[in-house]
Amino acid sequence: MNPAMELELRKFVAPEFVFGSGARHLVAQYAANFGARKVLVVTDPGVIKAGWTKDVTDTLESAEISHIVFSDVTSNPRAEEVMAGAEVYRQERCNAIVAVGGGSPIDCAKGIGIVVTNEKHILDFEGVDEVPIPAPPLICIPTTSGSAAEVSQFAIITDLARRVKIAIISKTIVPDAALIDPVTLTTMPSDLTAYTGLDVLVHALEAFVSNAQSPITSMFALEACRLVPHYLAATIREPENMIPRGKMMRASLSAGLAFSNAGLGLAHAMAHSLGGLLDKPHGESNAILMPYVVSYNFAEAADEYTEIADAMGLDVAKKSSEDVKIILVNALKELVQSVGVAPKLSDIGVKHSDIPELARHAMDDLDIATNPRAPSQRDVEVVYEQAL
Amino acid sequence: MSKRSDAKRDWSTLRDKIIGLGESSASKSYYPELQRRLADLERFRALLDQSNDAILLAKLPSGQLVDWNESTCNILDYTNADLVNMTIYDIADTSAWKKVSELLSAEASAAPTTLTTSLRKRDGSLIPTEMTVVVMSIDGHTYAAAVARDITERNKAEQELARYRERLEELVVDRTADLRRANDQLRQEIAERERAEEALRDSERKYRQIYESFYDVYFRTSVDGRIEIVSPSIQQHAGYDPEWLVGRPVTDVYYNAKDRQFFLDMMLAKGEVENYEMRLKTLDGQPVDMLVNARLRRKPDGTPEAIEGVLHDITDRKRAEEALRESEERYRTLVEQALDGIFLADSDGRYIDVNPSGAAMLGYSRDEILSMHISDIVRPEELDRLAVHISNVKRGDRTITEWDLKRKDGSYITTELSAVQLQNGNIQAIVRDITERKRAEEELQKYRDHLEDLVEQRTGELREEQEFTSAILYTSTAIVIVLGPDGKIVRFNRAAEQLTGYSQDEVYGRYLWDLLAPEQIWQVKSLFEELTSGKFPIQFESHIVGKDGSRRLIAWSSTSLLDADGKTKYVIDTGIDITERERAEENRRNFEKQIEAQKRQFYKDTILSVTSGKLDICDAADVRPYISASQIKEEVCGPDDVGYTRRQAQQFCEEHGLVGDRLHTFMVGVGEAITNAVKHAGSGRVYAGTIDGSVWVGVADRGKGIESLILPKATLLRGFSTKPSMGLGYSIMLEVSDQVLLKTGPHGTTVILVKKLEEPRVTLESLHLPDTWMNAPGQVSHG
Ligand SMILES: [Fe+2]
Repeated sequence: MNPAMELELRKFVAPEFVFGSGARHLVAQYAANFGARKVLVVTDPGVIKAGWTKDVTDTLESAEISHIVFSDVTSNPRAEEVMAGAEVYRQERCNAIVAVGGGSPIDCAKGIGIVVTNEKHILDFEGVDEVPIPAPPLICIPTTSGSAAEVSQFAIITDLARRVKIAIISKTIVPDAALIDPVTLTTMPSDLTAYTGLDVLVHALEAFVSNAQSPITSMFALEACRLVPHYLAATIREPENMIPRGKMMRASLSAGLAFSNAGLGLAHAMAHSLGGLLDKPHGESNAILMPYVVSYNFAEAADEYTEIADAMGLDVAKKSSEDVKIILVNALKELVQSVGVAPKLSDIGVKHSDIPELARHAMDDLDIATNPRAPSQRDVEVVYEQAL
Repeated sequence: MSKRSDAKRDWSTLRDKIIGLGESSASKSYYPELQRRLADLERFRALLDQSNDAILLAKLPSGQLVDWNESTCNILDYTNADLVNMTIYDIADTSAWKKVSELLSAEASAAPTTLTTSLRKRDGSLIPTEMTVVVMSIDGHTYAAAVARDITERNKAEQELARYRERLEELVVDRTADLRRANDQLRQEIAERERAEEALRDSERKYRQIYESFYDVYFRTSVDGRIEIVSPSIQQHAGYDPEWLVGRPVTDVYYNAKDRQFFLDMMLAKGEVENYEMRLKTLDGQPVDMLVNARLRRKPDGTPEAIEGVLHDITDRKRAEEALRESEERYRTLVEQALDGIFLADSDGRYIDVNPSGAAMLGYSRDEILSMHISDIVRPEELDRLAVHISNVKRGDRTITEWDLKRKDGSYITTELSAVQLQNGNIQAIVRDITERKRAEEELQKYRDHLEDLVEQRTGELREEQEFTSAILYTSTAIVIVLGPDGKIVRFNRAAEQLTGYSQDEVYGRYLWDLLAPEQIWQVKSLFEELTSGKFPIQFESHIVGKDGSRRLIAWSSTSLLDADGKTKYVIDTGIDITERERAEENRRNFEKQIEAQKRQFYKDTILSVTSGKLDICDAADVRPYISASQIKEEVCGPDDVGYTRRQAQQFCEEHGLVGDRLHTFMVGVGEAITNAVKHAGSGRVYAGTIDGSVWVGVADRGKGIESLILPKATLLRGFSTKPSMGLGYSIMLEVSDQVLLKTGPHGTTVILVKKLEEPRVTLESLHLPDTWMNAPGQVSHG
């Protein structure tokens, strides 16, 4: 790293978080400390079915904090769902939000928060720093290890009308507290475990090579790169073994802290486009795209990628840059397939004719701004074609 | 879409923003927002404190005051410390207590209500107020917020206005006339005086005559301030003896001595004054206002010699003027401050004045109103009515009328208006906005009308329901007996009459249990107690004894009807005669028993012959000798006990001479038997003993037993199980034992496996055991 860069001004934003088994049971204590009178609990039907929502509401009830559950949240949260949630918040006169679930309920909860304080439509906040008034107190209890929305300044909302995923990036939507409890991961189905686990790796990779990275973010990113290849397969093999689950949760947190402050890159821009246009699962899209994005970016950040490969446990000592690229790209492809994710976009139903539209939308995505290499639209199309 | 071509250029800006060192990229902080809200709150609080109305918040139902503004203290003359310990009932007028508490207890009264009541001050005096009360819920507590406006001044103002209106014009005319008269007189007198002065110079005698009879006061003072001459009329106006005054300092008669210097300077400068007002002092020290006309007398060489002039007493005029100004001022103030709108129009209907409340009521400025005509603010369709009303007013009609007045924004407000024509022809109207009151009245009326409808509708429904119920009761084929809370019969329908042979009149007032079979009375009484203590509905069966002594079996369904307090009002017993059904049921059960016995015998015989006497489906009597001679007895309470009991049985068999492969194969069967018991019944008992050169192991459980129809399958078919996880079951037991006794029935199953100590008939190799054979018996494997 360029030594001068170490002295550049950098900010690192993270919420207060509690990591460890049983962390979720602190929700009432945190809610009380934030002065919660009535809590809007944002969650989704899957999480309710797994029992985590009731676990949290029981805890709130035992502390006599009244609450109302809002669960009309789909897997890519939509603008309409956010507005409906905000209406519930207003009508029920809530003054704090608890999000229980994966990235979708948490992003939806962030959206609800800023809609109610700013009294604007959710789509008005698209972009960086477009939120004037911070959201009400928000406590997040993640039940997946992937999105890291519980620590990030990002919220991704789907605009069905335009068929795009918009990004809201603002320090004002960083949650007030994250209660990160690996026990909640035990009910994650294996496909979701694979998708979210790979998403974590992509977060770490993109944050590490981001043009907005800093020594602090890189430290976290590398840690995630070390953990994921080691423990992802184990979590799928032994879903109820808490040791690998805990490691993956920590990987998710580290990668989240890194990308929240350093930004993401081309893989996410392209995955958001797939999500918006074709409603493809976020982690799956990212996992398939990642090797091809690395291949495209490699020349711009060869040293960083070598460091990543080393952290992932690949033997890259004294290898030429070209060799490292091949080793890393192949290792990523192998990892993707070893956890049962399809290797190609065509396997998940993407057609050649979709590519121009996908590329156009990816070019408009905010995440592309921090990619180490500035692509043209044709570049993006080519990466999609390679991954097809 | 053109935005996209710029996208690349934006990327570096976006990157900087994501890094987030800019001013707007602050982390989440509530302080600014909190401060903003606090400031809002403080501003609001200041507003409340500035209000002249008393604003207070009381917790319900105690009425404890929890918050109030400064005006509350000022109006009631209490300190904050006093109010902390008081309730709203301490300060609400006794007569208003009821009204307030009614309002507070009515749960539905979410809408604010305005009432006119009084508040009690510290000294006990009452202040009339108009109070708006709203009941609201905050954080699970109920509060009443009240805004009370002191209407003492308003009431007084209204009364005074009314009084004043009547007198003002007369007063003005009177006073004006007085003034005019006084002025005329004055002018005349001054003229006279001048003439008199002329005459004075001419004639000392004439001068004296006039001088002495003069109404006004003639005076002469020296320049150095001595009174030289003063006419006798001074006594009349100020009480001084004129003789006594001569030679005294003139300042003695000034009300303010220093006025003299001013007056002197003025005289020296101007030489004369006309109609100059001066305040003198009477002998007893009272002020007396004089109008002075004077001039400076000079010596022939021009040096000032004396001031001479005439004083005219204007105290009365002054007083009249003062009174007029005061009353005018008071009137003006009242008009300006009145909460009601006050409009003044000329006799043609053009506005010539309006007070601030009037202008605000209509949303116009005063100047705008002054360019308008009465007809501009009345509904067009009411112009005719307006013309009639104006002419009525001009005739002296002072009826209060209602008008919709048009505001500047085009909306209408409902007002109550009282108008009067003043003596000068102008029309003055006092207008009160009653839009809110009107709306409340209408709403109340609507509610009342609706209530009537509801009552009528409900009454109809009830009547209909009653007729309907009676009809059903009468025609129902089910027995319906209604009991009072004491268990006495109050209704007895036709089906009940037909079944029992009693008429309703015969059973009326008797207890239900008087009609039942004697042996069931106790049971039914206790059921009745359960019903009246809130446990219902209850189903039970009992015999009812008819008038002729015949018994019928009735299936009853009973329930309680509660009154508003939750106490039992009626118990309703509905019964169906199941005598015939019960009899048929009995027959069927007997028949089935016979069939079952036959079936069992058939199976027993068949199975015995098929298994060459090895499997004996037997009765309890056949099993009992084994069990009673048992040498061990082990309880199996669950899967965990299977291994232990199996080892106990094995040890027993080994000790009694069963060894080697024969022992091991036998134990597989024993393990199956024990596992079966645990799986089917959850628990069981293991016995073992010896008989005729054999050892036996028995397992008994209290499960549901094996139905006879599937007995052959369950015992003979390899791998058959009534439960998917049952395993191999009886076929293994049969294969490893020399004889198997099986007793099964609805109260449990007992299986006894018998193994001869010698003379092996089968070897291990000849058994076609499945792969699971080597599994530790007794271990419940997961399917
Ligand atoms: Fe992601």
